[in-house]
Amino acid sequence: MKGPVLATLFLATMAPAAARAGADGGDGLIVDRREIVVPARTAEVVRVENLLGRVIIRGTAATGQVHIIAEKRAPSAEALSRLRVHYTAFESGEVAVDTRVELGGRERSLPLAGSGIDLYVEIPADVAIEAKTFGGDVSASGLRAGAKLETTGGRIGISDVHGGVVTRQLRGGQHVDAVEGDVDLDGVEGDMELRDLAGGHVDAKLVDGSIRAEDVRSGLVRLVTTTGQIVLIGVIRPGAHYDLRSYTGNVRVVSLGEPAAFELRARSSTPLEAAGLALRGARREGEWLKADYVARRAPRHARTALLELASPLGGVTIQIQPRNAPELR
Amino acid sequence: MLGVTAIDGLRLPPAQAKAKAKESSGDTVMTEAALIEAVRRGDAGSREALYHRYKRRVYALAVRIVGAMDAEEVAQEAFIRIFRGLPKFRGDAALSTWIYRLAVNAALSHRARRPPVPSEAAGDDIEGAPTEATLEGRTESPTGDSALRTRLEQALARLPAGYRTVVVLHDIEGLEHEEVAQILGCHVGTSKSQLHKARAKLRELLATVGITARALEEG
Amino acid sequence: MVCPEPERLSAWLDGDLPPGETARLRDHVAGCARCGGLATELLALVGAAGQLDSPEPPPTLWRGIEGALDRLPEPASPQPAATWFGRLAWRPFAIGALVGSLAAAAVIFPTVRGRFAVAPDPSSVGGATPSSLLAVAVPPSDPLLAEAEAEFARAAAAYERSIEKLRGLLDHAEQGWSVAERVRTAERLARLDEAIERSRDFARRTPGDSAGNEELFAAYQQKIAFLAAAVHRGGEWNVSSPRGDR
Repeated sequence: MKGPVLATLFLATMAPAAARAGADGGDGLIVDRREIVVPARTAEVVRVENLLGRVIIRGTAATGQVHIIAEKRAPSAEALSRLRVHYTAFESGEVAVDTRVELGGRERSLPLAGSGIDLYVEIPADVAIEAKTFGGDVSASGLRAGAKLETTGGRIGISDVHGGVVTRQLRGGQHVDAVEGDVDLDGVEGDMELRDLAGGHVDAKLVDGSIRAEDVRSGLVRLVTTTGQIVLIGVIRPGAHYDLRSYTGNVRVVSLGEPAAFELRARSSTPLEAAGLALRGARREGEWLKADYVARRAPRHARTALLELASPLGGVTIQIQPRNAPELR
Repeated sequence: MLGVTAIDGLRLPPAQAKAKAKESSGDTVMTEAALIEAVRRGDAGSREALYHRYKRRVYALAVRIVGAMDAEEVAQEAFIRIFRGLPKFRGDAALSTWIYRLAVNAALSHRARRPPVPSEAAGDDIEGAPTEATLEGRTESPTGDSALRTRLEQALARLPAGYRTVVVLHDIEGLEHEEVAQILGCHVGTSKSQLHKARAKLRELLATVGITARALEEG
Repeated sequence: MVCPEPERLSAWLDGDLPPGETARLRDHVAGCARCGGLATELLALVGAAGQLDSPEPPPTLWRGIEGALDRLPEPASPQPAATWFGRLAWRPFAIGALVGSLAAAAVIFPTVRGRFAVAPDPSSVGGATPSSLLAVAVPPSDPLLAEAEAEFARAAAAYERSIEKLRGLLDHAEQGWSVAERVRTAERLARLDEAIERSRDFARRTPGDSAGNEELFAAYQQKIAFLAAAVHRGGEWNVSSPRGDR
C-alpha cells in the first residue's frame, strides 16, 4: 500500500495550489475548488456520502483511479474552513468518500443549507457505486457495475448504466434512462420517468407522484403509486408480468403495435377502457375483471403475458398504438 | 484491512480509519468461523457483514411463511434472535442451518401470535381462477417466465403453512432433509412425507390455472 | 399396478421409496401416460421452484435491526471454560493487564453499548450514544448546528405529511375490511408508531448526530411502506409477493 499512499499524499498536498480558493461564487458565497486523485487499482466499489450537497458520478474508461473534484461553498472563510472532504482506500477494494462539517471539535456528517460541498466523481466504469446525499441531487452515468443512489430531498438521475440500479428517495423526482439490469426504485414524493430499460425486473414504488415508463423490456414490470398516474408505453412482451397500480390515479397501458397474448386482471372505479382490443371471456371475480387477449398472429405455443392493472378510485385504459404513430405525451 | 485516510491532504494514523468486513460476494473474504468470531469480538462492521450475508435468505423465508406485509417485522425479529444467540452458538450445526432455524421459529411464532386473517376479498385467489374448460378458444394456458413465477408464488402462498415451510426450505432454498428436519425439529421421514404431500398439493393448485409441465419447463 | 397418488410419485422421483417399490413404480410409469405426465409435471415444478428469486429486503430492515439491538440490554457474555493450563498461564499477566484494562474499560464500554464501534475516537465520525463519556457537546448557539437540525426537521415534516396522506387513504380503504383485518392493521401501526417514537427520542437526545435522524427516517419509511401496502392490498394480509409488493 505504501506506493499508492505516497502518491495520494503528493497529489493531495499539490491540490491546494491548483484550487481556486477564495473565489466568489457569485451569490456572496466563497468557493473553494479542489481536485483529488485517489489511486484505486483494486477498487471494486466506491461509496460516496455527501450530506452537504450534490454528487455527480461519471464512469470513465480510465482505470486505476478515482478522480474527485470537490467544490466547497460557504458565506464566510470561517464557515468554509469547517467543511471537510475525506477519502479512504481500503485494502478490501472499497474506496469511501465522505464530507463532514466541524462542529464542537468533532467532524460530523450533517446537512446544511447555507454552506455545502458538491462532489464530481469520475470512477472506472467497471466499479460499483453507492452514493448518498441529503438535499443535493445525485446522478450517475456511464457505469457498468451497477449503482445504488439514495437521497432525502435531491433529484435522482441515472443514465447509461449496466448492472443493477437501486434508488431510495423521500422527494425530488427520479429520471432513469438506458439501464441494462434489474431496476429497483423507491420514492415517496415526486414523479418518476423511466425509459429504455432491459433486465430481469423493474420495480418502481412511489407514494405521491406519477410514474411514466417507456420502452421497458424486462420480464417483470411493477409500477406502483398511491396517488398519481401510471403510464406504460411500449411493447407487451410474451411471458412478461405487468403489475401496474395506483390507488387514486389512472392506469394507462399503451401497446406499441399488437401486443402479445395476455391474461388481464383489472380493477377500477370506472369501466375498463380497451378500445380496439378484442378481449375474450370477460368475467367478474369480486372487484376484479378478468379477460384474455389472444394475439391474432401469435405462434401456437407463444407465452402469455399477465397484465394486472388496478386503480380502485381511478380508471384503467389499455390501447394499441401503431408503432409509427407520433410520440405520445 | 486498514487503508489510508486523508483529509484534504492531511494523513491520519491508520488506527482511525474504519475497518470493514467485505460484503459477501463470489470470492468471500471472511469464512463463517472468522465472521462469527468477529461478531463475538464486536469488530466494527461485522454484524452488518453477517446481516448482508444472510439477509436475502432470512427475508425470503419470512415473506413466504408469513406474507409480504409482516415479512420485515419477522426478519427483524429473526436477526435480533440471531445476534443475541450468536455468543452461545457452539457450532453443533452449520451456521446457516442455525440461522434458518431461528428465522423459521421467528416466522412461526409470529403466525402463532397473529394468526392469518381470513380474507373475504377475491384478490389473487388462484383457486378461483378459471379452469381450462372455461377459457374460450384455449386448449392450453402456457404462461412465460415472470407471469409463471407469479403464479407459482401465488400457489405457494395458498399452501398450508406446514407444507409451505418444507417446500421453501427443501425445494426453494435447496436444503437437504437432514437440515430441514433439524430446523423444524422433526424426523427426516416426516420432512420427506410433508414435502411429497406439499408438492402434490402445489401441482394441483397450478393445474387449476392451466399451468402444465411444458409451461414450467419453459418458464 | 394401480396408478399411485401424486405424493408417491414425488417420493419415487426423490428416491425415497424402498427398492422393491421403486422398481415397480419405474415400470409402471414407463407404461402409463397419465403417471408419466404427472411425474414430468412434478419434476418441472421442483425445477421451477428452485429457480425462484430470493427478494432483496428493504434497506430499512438493517436500520431497524441496529436500532433494536442498541435498545436491548446487553446479555452476559459467556466466558469460555478456562483450562488448568490457561489459568496458570494467565496469572502472571493478570496484575499488569488489570491496570491497563480498567483504564480501557472506562473508554470502551459506553461506546460498545452504542453503535458497536471498535474503539472510541474523538475525531472519528460515528454514532455517539447518549451515555458516551466521549460525546463532545456542541454549543447550542452554533449556527451550523441549528442549520443542520432545521434540515432534519424539514425532512421529518415531509415524512409526516406523507404518512398523514396515506392514513387518510387507509381510512377510506378500510371501510370495506373485516374487523379482524382492521385490528391487525391497527396493531401493526401501533408497533410502527412506537418505533418512530423511540427513534425520535434518540434523535432529540443526540443533536448534531445524523445517526439518530437516520434511524428516525428509517422508521418513517417502514411506516410509509406498510401504509402504502395496506392501502393497495385492501386488507389482504395473506397474499405473499416476494418482490416486497407494497
